[in-house]
Amino acid sequence: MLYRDKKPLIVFIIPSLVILGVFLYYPFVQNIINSFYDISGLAALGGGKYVGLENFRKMFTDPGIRQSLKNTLYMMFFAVFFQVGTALILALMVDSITKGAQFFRTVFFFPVVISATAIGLMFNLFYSYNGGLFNQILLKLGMERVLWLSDELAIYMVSLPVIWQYVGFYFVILLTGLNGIPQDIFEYALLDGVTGIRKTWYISLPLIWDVIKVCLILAITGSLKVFDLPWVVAPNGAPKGLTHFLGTYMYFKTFISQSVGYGAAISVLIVVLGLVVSFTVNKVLRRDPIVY
Amino acid sequence: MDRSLTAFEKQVRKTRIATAVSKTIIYTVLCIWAFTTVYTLFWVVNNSFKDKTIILTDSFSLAVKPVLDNYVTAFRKLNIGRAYLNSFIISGSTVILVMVFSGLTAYAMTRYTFRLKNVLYLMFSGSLLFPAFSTIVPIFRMVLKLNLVSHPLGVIIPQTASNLSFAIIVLMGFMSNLPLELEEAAFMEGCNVFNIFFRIILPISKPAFATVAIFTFLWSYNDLFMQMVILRKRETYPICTLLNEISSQFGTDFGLMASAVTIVVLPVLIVYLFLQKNIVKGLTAGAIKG
Amino acid sequence: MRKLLAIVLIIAMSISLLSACNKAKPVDEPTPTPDASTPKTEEPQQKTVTLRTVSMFGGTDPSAADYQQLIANFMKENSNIVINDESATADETWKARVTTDFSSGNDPDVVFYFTGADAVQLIETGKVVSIEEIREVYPDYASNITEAAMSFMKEFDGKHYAVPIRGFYEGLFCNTDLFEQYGLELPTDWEKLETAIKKFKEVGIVPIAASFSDVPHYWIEHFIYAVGGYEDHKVNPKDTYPESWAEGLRWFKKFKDMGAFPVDVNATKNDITTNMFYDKQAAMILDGSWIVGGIKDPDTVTVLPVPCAPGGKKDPSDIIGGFSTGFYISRKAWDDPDKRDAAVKFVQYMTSNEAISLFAKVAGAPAADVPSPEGMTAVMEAGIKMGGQAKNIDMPIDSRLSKEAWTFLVSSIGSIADGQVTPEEVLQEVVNKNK
Repeated sequence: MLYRDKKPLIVFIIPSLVILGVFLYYPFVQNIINSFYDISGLAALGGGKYVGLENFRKMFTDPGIRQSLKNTLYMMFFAVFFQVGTALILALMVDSITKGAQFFRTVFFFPVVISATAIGLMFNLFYSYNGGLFNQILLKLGMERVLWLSDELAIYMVSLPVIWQYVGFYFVILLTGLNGIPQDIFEYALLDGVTGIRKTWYISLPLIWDVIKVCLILAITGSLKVFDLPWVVAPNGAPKGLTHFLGTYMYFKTFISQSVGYGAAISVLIVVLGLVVSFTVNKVLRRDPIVY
Repeated sequence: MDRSLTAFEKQVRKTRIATAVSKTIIYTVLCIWAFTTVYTLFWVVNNSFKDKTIILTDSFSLAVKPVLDNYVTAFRKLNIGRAYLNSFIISGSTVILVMVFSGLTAYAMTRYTFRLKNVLYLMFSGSLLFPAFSTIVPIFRMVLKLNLVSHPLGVIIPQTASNLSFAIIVLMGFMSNLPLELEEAAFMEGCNVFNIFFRIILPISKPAFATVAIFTFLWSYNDLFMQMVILRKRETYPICTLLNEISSQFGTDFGLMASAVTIVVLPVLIVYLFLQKNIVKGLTAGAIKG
Repeated sequence: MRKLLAIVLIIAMSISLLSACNKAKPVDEPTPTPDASTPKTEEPQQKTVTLRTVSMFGGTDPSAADYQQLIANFMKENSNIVINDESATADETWKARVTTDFSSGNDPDVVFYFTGADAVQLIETGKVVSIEEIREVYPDYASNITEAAMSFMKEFDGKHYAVPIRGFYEGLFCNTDLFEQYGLELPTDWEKLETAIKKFKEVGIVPIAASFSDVPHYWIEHFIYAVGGYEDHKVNPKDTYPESWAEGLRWFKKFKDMGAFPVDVNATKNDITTNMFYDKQAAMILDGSWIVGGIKDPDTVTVLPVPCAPGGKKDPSDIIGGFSTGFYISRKAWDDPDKRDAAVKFVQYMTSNEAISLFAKVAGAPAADVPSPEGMTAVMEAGIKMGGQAKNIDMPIDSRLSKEAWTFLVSSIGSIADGQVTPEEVLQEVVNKNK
C-alpha cells in the first residue's frame, strides 16, 4: 500500500538516470556509431570511412574472435564456480566462526586492493621457465622443469590469478549479505533442531539468494570485460594469441592494431553477449523474494 | 561414579565431536587461503625494500639488508602528500555521490513496480559491461567542453557514472532481502516514503552501503586510465597517476614499482578497516519482534 | 588486533605525509619566474603567450630533468612566453592521450612525438605543420640538423614534419665475458653466430634472450635484413613482398629448433628476458640503444651488427637505426598569430646544438654535429662505432607498414617459429592489410 503512489519514484530515479545517460550511455552510443566506420587510429576519430556492417561481418571469420570467445566462456565458467563458489564457501565458513573472523575478513581482501601490475608481475615470476618460483621448487624436488605457459596450459595458468584475485571481492559481498540475516531466524531454527549443513542449505542460502544472483551477474559480466590482469601476465594473448579474452582482444585491436572501428564493434559484441547472459541468468534463477 | 551416558548426552557428545572436526577443517581451509593472500602483500612490501637489480632474479627471499632507496627516490621526486590529498578528494567525492544516487535508485527499484522496471534493470546490468576504453574519448570531449580538464570534477563525474550501475545492482540485491513489515508498520504510523528511506532503510542497510563504498573507493582510486587522460597538470595528479610516472623508459624499475604499490595500497587498507566496522552482524536483530 | 593494524597503517601514512611536506620542492617543477630585470626586448608591447607543450621526457626518463631545465632557461630568456608542459613516459596510454587530444580539439601547440606509422594519422588529418611550410616564413628553421638525420624525417607525402634531436640504433648485444668463458668468437659472421648458439645451449645458457609475446620485432627486421640486404629491407610491400622476406622469416623456426631462444619465448616478457641478459643468464640480445642505460657491467658488453645470412645480400656493416622522434608544431599553434612565433622559438631552442648534446649524452646519436660526450663505456663506444661504420642505415619495418599489417605480422611470429604457419601465408596477409 505504501508503494502505490508512484510520484516519489521520479525523485529517486531521475538523478541516477541523468548522470548515467550523459556520461555513460551517450558515450557508448557514440561507440556504437564508431563500430560502423573504419577508423585507423584514435586521432582519426570523428572521421573514418563508413563501412556499415563490415566490422561485424569480419568478426565471424576472425580466428581471434573465436579464440577470445572460447577463452571468455572458460573464464565465465571458472568465475561462476571457482570464484563465486570459493567466495561463498569462505563466507559461510567465516560466518560460522567467531574467533579470528575479523582477521580473515581483513586479510582476504588484500588481493583485491593490490594493483594488477604487481600481482601480474608476481605470477610472471612464478611461471617463468628459467628462474620462476614454481620451476625452482620442482628442481629442488628433483623433478623436471615445466613450461607453465605452454599452448595447452596457458589458458588455465592465466585464468588462475584472475580468479584468485577477486575471490575476496565476492567474499566481502556475500559475507555482508550473510550478516544481514536477522539472528532471530537462527534462534528459531535452533529450537527446531536445524543446525549445521541443513541450516546453511535451507536457511542461509535462500535468504541471500538475491545477493548470490548479483554476484553471479557481476562475475559473468566481469569475465566479459576482464583486461588488466590477463594483459600483464600474458600480453597480447601470449602465447601466440591463445589466451586472448574479449576484453584483451578489444584493447589489442583498438590501441595496438589501431583498428578503432573494429574495436568498437567488439565492445558492442561484449555488451550484447553480456545482456543476453544476464537476462538468461536472471530468468533461470528467479525466485520469489522471501519476505518475512 | 561410572554411569553410562544417557541418549541425550551421547547425542551432545556426537555433536561436539562433529563440531570439532568441522571446525578444524574450516580453520585449515581459511588459513590456507589466508596464506595466499597475506603472502602476496608481503611479497610486494618485501620487494620494495630490495635493490631493483636483485628483484627479478631473487624476488622470493626475505630482504635481509633492507634498502630504503626505492622509497627515497619516490619521495624525493614526487609530491606524495599532495597526491594522496587529490586521491582522497576525488575518490571520496565519487563515493559520496555514488552512495546518494545509487541508494535512492536501488530503493525505488526494489520497492515499486512499474512498467519500465525490467528495462531499467537490464540497462543497468548492460552498462556494467561497457569497457572503459570504448567510452573514454566521448567522455573526454565532454569534459573538454565543460572546461573541466585537469579539474577534479572532470574525473569525479565520469567516475560516478561508471560506478553507479554496479552500486545500484549490488544495493538492489541487498535491499530486496529486507523485511517489509518494518516499512508497513512505519507507514501505518504516518511516515511517508522519504521518512522511511532515511529513518529505516538507511540505518539497516549500513553494511550494504559500506560494502559498496569500499569498492567504489577502490575502483575510483585505482582508475589509472581515466585519471591519466583527464588530469594533465602534475598538481592535480592523484597518487596512482603520480606513481605511474615512475615507469622508466628503460624498462620497469621493479624496486620502485614495489614501493609505489605499497604507497598506493596503504590508504585503501585504512579506508577498508574503517568501513569494515559497519559490516556487523545482528544489525537487524530484534527488528521483527520490535 | 585490528586496531593495532589500523594504528600501524596510519603511522606509516603520517610518516610519508610528513616526509613529503618536509622535503624541498621537487626538481621537476620549476616555477616560472619572469626575470623583471631582463633588458626589454625589441617589441615594446609584448603579450604573454602561453604555449602548451607535450613530450615523452617525463617520469624517470633520463632526459626528463634536462628537459625541464631547458624549459626553465627558455622561459627566463623569453619573459613573455609561458610554457605549460605536459610530459609523461611514452607508453600506449600516453600515445592514446596525444591522439585523443588532437581528435577532440585539444591540440597541443608543440609535441615531441614519433614519426612514421604513428604520425600518419596526424598528417592525414592536417594537424601538424610541415617543415617546408615553416621554412617559407622562417628559413633558418631546423638548419642545424644534419642531412642524414633529416632524411629520416621524410613522411609518406614527401614532406618533413618533425625536427629530430637524437636517433637510435639496433644491434646484437653480446656479453663478451660469457663468450670468453666458453672460448667462443664474437658473432661477426653467421657461422660464428650458429656456433655460439649451439655451444651456449649445451652449457645451459640461453643463447639469445627474446620474447615473442610483447616485443619480437627486432628479429623480424633483422632476419629480413640479413637475407634481403638493404635493398629488399627498405621496401614497403603494398601488393607483393620480396622473396627474401619469406626466407628471412623462415630463420625464426630454424633458430627455435636450434634452441636459440628461451624455452618459454612465446609467453615470457621483454622485461624478464632483458634482465636475463643483464644478469648474464643469456649470452646475446638483439635490442636497441635504449637498453644501454640498464646494463650493469657496461665494459663486459659489446654490440655488433647482425651478420649476413647464408645466401643473403646484406652488407655486414649495415644496421637498422635512424631517427624516429621529433618536435612537431601543431596547425592550431601555427595558425594562431600570437603563438606561431613562440612555438618556432621553442622548437629551435630545444633543437639547438647545445640542447641536442644534452639529450644525446644520455642515449643515441645526435641529430646535429655536436662533439661526442665524454665518459663513454665500452658498449656505448661500440654502438657509436657501429653507427659510424655502417654503409647503410635503414629504419625498421614498423615505420613503414600500416599498424594493422605490422601488428598482424608481429602476432604471427610465434606460430611461424613453431612451424604452424608458413612465412608465405603470413606475408600474403600482411600485404593485404598494408593499405
